[in-house]
Amino acid sequence: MNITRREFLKLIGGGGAGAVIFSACGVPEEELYFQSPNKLPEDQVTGIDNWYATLGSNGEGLAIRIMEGRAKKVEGNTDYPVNTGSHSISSEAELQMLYHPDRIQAPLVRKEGTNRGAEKWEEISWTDAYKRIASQLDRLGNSKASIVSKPLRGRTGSVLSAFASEMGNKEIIFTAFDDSNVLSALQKITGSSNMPKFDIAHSDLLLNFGMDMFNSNHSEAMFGRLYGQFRDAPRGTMYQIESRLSLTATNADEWIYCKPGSQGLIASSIAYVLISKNMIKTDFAKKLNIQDLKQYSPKNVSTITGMSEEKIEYLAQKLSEAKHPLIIGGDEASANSNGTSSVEAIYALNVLMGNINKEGGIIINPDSPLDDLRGSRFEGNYKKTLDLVSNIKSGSVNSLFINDIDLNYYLPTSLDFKSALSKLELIVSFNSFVDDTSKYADIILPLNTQFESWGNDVPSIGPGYQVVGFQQPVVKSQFSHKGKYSGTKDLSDIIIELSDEIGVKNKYSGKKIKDILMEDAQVLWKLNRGSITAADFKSFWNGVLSRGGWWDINSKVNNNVQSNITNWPKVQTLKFSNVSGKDSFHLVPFRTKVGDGSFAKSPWLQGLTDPLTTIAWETWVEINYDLAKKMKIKEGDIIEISNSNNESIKAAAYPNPSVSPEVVTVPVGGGQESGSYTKNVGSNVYSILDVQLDDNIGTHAWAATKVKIRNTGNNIAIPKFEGRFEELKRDPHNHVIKITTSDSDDSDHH
Amino acid sequence: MKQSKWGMVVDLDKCNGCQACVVACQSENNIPLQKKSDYDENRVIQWIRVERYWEGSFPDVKAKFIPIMCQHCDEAPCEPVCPVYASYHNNEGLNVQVYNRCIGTRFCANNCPYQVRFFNFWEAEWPDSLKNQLNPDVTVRSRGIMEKCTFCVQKIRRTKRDAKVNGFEIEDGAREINPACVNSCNTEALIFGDMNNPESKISRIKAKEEKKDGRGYHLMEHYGTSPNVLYLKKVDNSKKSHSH
Repeated sequence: MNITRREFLKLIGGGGAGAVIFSACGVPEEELYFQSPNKLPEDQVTGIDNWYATLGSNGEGLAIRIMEGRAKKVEGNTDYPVNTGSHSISSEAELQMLYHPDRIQAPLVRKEGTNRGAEKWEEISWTDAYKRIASQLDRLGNSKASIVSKPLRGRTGSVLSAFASEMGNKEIIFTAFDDSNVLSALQKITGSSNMPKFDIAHSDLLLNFGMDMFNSNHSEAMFGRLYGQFRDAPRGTMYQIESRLSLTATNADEWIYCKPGSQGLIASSIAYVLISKNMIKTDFAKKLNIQDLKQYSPKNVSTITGMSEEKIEYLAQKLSEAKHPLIIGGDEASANSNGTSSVEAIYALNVLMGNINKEGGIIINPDSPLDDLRGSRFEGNYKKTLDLVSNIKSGSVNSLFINDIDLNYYLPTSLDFKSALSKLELIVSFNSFVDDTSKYADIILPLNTQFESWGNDVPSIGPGYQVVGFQQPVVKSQFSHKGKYSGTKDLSDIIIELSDEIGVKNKYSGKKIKDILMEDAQVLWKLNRGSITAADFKSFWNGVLSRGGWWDINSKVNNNVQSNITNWPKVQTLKFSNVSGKDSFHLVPFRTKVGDGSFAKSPWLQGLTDPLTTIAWETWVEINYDLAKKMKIKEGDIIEISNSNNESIKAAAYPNPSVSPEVVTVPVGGGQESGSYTKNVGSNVYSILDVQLDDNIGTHAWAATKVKIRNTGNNIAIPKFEGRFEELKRDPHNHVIKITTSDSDDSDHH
Repeated sequence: MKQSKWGMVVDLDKCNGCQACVVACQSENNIPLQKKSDYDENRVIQWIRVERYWEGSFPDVKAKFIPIMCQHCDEAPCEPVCPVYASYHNNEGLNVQVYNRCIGTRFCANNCPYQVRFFNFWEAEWPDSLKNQLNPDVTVRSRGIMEKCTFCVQKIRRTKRDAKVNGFEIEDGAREINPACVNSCNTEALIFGDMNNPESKISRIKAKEEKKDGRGYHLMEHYGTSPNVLYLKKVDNSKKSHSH
């Protein structure tokens, strides 16, 4: 007998209904209708959630939502004084770092008989890994080992430093956008070795020389909060002086273009106007000899800086009228050969205005209550990294420990770091991922990610009082199921265990990072002051973990701060590579949503559009719109960008109205060779940067490269948001973005 | 207790275009990863997006930002065109999408002037390990249906239920009830709250800024959609300042 599908269903349905009627005699018929227990899927309550406090890798206090042992959502910790409830996109992306499919799950050793970089690995136990390293070091000698790391703060940093010094070295800290010269300048200006707080929220005029606060080495969320408060009534006014329209510059009331590296001259010229016109009468102003500043008169610097005399005088006038002026600077302004002297001149303006340790000014951060734990220190030193490369090449360094810093990606091609690596006899990498450097390692020791690790932190920019943040694992290590001889570990624990195996002893030997942190907490508990006080240590410890840290709002630096400077800093002349001609440009690289490139692993951040260009998943070169037309360059044209060594990269052209005809700008983060979400995405602008140093302290002058560009004739459709949506229909009287001035209701400028 | 009516204020003078709201929304609402091919094929899904408008040219140039999400219009043009009532207005003023009713006609997206409704052309995919992060409170939408900003209705529901069970009052501006974008906003440009509560921050802002001399306006208000998102005009003093 043939039964159709419809008949079959009828039979089944009838039988089913009959059975129910039989077994539930007397039940009203409507009860038989299926009713969803939920009106909407969102009505479901899936379980109990808990929020745990910890820290992000950029020092933000975070609260993580945990359900069934899994981390679900990141939010800012409202208690934590640095970011007060806000959080940056990189903090959110830590979730994807935790659950990333590319994570290394156990210690890896390069398979015997395979070449470095072949990425043929074998899983080994932690014991085996330590033994192999120890026996190699026995042969090679501890003193010929070198340790290079990303910037580490808090106790983890101390553990690494202790290990390095016991090995007879000092660790080299590398960071791609090093702002050590800003700290060095501020140290001179304020007399304090801590990075001060910029009291943007209480300032009424912010003069910013190039610091891209919203794409920062420090907490972007902190700067965002301060900026939001700055815009509250009475609304502050912000001027940004920069050679590129950065995200911060476009949020200023006025972006004022200047030639790359000329900010120090502009700051000095403003100082000259303020003093020569008697606009300011502070002690420092009285001390200065106007003749020393005459070389910086607006007339003398106008051409070299690209800023008109009138504009310099206008800014001086505005500063003199402001009640709480604040002058800050960094990033591109500090990233030329004259970087240190430029930022010294920029921050000296604060001394001239008399706003050091005053409301709306530069607020000194006190020292940490834990003696050897500091938030700010001279992090990177490009010069030392260059020395390392030559020491490897000369054979005076034969083994290298690399902690989570992708030097092979960050260093320019001209340094040929890859060939230096090949000269090493032992390369040990501490990393959660195989990156462009760790893929050349002999042994990789896998790290826990941020949300699996213990740590503490003194913020790189404190809130003006003492803060010690505490980081706790909010979830179990993802690979703990592999047992105690495998899986991933905290960096501190690895270093301590490895030291024991090598036979290098220091004060942390035999301890676990959690115990060391508890010792720190003991010190804080005994202070019996601040945000948490408790009768017993256990309660204090629980309090510190549940609030994400300890702080004392009364621990401010209240005394009158005397600046160390007596004369106006001399701004040094700029050095650029010898590239000239009509097709030559200043190359200004910049950080984007993926930071310096380290967050490019996150598919959320790769897929997020750049705010200004709306481009995702690509490396682009920004060029002046009108100039591009003249050069017959259109959007998507593949441009070859070459430096003075004829090293080049290719990037898609994005002509836009914000770029100076003298400059091309390229974002960092593209061109990585490893990783599911990074391989074959864009190109690496770090590779063509000149090896130009800051004249004073040896940071990298990363904005000092000059390049030539050439249209290759190829073209791609740039993956971007702009143009993907039909532009909202605009009515002449109903604009999408309406604009007013602060004292009028004139709403239709746009 | 008076019925809530949820609304949002977007202060354009504070929005710095950082896009923390976009990532927070993706994380909270299980929004599919935006692949390169999604950009190439015009299939990007962002419940909240930050649009950028250029103004001027070098050197007097600026980019201005505006976050755009579902405006939860009282007169929502997306609702009457849905043949299966998947798009409807709930009693708290939210324009809601019932995923298991949606049959994917896309009429609603076609009728929405704000372009904030998104069609799932593909089944959303994540690598297995990344699925650990997915929010169990939010359905992963299947291929063939529409999705959009819900003002994080799952947070509203959960908080209301918690308040009922544990007997507490929901405070105005409570982070538990705020949409993810609001909590993530670094500059506090986004403010969410109950417009039926005259004491709420959002009601006070509305009362001040919707006056004749206030900064409040609704996006494309000439369409008569009566949105529940109020934008505050951007302040630009350079219009009156000294310029060279």
